[in-house]
Amino acid sequence: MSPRITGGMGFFTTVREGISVAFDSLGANRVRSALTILGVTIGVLVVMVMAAVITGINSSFTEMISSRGITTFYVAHFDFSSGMGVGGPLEEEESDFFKNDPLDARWARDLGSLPGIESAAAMVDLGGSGYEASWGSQEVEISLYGVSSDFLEIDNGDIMDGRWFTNVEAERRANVVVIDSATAVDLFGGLDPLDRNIRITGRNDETSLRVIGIYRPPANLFAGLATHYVMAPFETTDKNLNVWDRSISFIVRPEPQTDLQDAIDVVHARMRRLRGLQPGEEDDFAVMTQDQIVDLWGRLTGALFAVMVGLSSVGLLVGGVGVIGIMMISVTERTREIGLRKSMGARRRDIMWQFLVEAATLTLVGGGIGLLCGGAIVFALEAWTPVPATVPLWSIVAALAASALTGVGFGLYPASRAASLEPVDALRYE
Amino acid sequence: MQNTNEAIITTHNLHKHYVMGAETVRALNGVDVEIRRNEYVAIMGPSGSGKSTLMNLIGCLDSPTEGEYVLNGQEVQVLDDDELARIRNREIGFVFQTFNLLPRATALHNVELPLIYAGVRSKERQRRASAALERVALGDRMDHKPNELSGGQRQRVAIARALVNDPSIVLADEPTGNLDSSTSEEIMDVFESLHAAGQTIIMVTHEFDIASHAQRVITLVDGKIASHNAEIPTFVGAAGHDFHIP
Repeated sequence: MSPRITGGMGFFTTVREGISVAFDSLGANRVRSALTILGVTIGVLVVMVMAAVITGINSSFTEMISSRGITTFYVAHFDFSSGMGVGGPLEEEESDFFKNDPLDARWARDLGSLPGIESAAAMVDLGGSGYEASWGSQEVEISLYGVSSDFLEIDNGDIMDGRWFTNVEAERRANVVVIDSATAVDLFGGLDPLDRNIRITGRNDETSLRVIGIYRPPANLFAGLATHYVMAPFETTDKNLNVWDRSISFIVRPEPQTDLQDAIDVVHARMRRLRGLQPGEEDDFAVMTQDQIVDLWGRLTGALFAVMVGLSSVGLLVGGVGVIGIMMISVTERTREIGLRKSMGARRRDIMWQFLVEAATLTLVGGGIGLLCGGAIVFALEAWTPVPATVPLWSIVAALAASALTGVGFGLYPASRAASLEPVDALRYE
Repeated sequence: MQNTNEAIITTHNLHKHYVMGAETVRALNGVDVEIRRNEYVAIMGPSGSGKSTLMNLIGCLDSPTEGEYVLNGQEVQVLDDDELARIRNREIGFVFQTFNLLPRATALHNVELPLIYAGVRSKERQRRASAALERVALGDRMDHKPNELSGGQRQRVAIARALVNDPSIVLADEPTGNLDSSTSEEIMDVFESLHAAGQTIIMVTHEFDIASHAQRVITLVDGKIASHNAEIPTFVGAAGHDFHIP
């Protein structure tokens, strides 16, 4: 034996050979290859776009939450941070949502006067009931909130023109309203909206309110997503519209120097007194910090993401089955080539590697195309829609790894078939 | 230097049986062959005589049912798959009837193939592959793909590929079976010059005028050696089989 050569085929040589053979056969069977990698492409594309959208929304959400101040916390008559009301047993009569009494909006002032608390506001979201604002023949769908006068201070929003409503106006249930600039433009075009009366119409109720100010929500990406904010004093909405009192909640902002836990304890104690709870009785309300809400959000998007990963792995699976098919055909077509390579000294593992690399190259190309298309979609979303989207680096790595693994995983069987061919039979194959 | 009379191939009582359904086909039935270094041997025999089977065993493409085979001092029948692959890579240069070139690879890359499996580095591979192509007078066709070459040129690429790893034996299976007679002569000239340069060559053929280029002709009939040194004109008559004589 010739002693000058030691060792078999090097790893990199194998991979390079495999890749060049893979591109050869990709080029030789374009349509077949394209169909095979389509599943992988779609799978990767979906993961990529969803990951980008979820990451984008997540960061906007966190931004939005913290734009109200890191220590701002919430009080409601049930614990919505546990996920109830968003997939929890909202319909069940025995859930806290129905069991506990609704909050009284007037308590907000009480909470706001506690030591260490800067302010507290009541807020009722009427947006879910399909309210519209109209002026003359102009109509626009709005997100309607009834809030107490302290709300603006906590929310960190701005008044661009006109003014916010006063405490006195709130107490007197004045028919005043503050609208955001999107609503102003849609209703009044270029006209000055101030001091004009707009009509608020719900499913079963309506009222007429005078515009006194133009509101700009705090800067965050959601500001672009959800527009047409319209805010009236809570007391006014309570008088003129059917406010569902179970949607009342409080936003509480501690003084900057107050420890968050101390502030929560003070509010918690006062809430128990307002509720008339005896020592030992369970809370019939909940105090929730932003961390809890961000957690809830994380769980929600996490669940959504798990569904996405599930869906896209179906894509990869379909792609993988395609890979088995095309590789089996490839092995059969190239039986003589395998025989030749074996007669030239290829070991089982060399042949195995060649076909695995070929399969992985196939799916990687599919994944790469998926990444490019996904990137283009994400770019388009960013540029032309208010949906925030950023591609996280890990999703690129994960997508490529998943597609390569699909190739290797599903290429295993055809590759081992190729590797175990007897050279003499393979050479004789017609 | 190496003794030219040294046996490079020795087989003893070589058997190869195939089970086909209920029947056992005895393709080789006790074959003893000795081939010495620098010999140029033709193996002849009618179809079904077992010459292809013997060729496959000598080429380590297949393993015997029974018997011993020593190639260049190495007992072959005891080797495992990887070791057989290594023997095929280092000791044997195959030349096939149908050339068996990779259709999408250049002549140079085709010749590099055994070196790839030998783990030779890229630069060295190219150097040796082009040297082998020069040897078969294809130095100017290195970047051509097989479909850009004539039949004779393709077979010369295959011969270069067989030579590139400097094997102990070149094993040619009907190397002119797909070529016309003038191209066949051209290929036989290549083999003769290789032999003149010291290469051991074993060639399976059923063609009389091809076999006549060899130093020695081994004939096989019914899985057994009929002659270790057949006189071509006599064995045709004596064996009484229908060889293709042009």
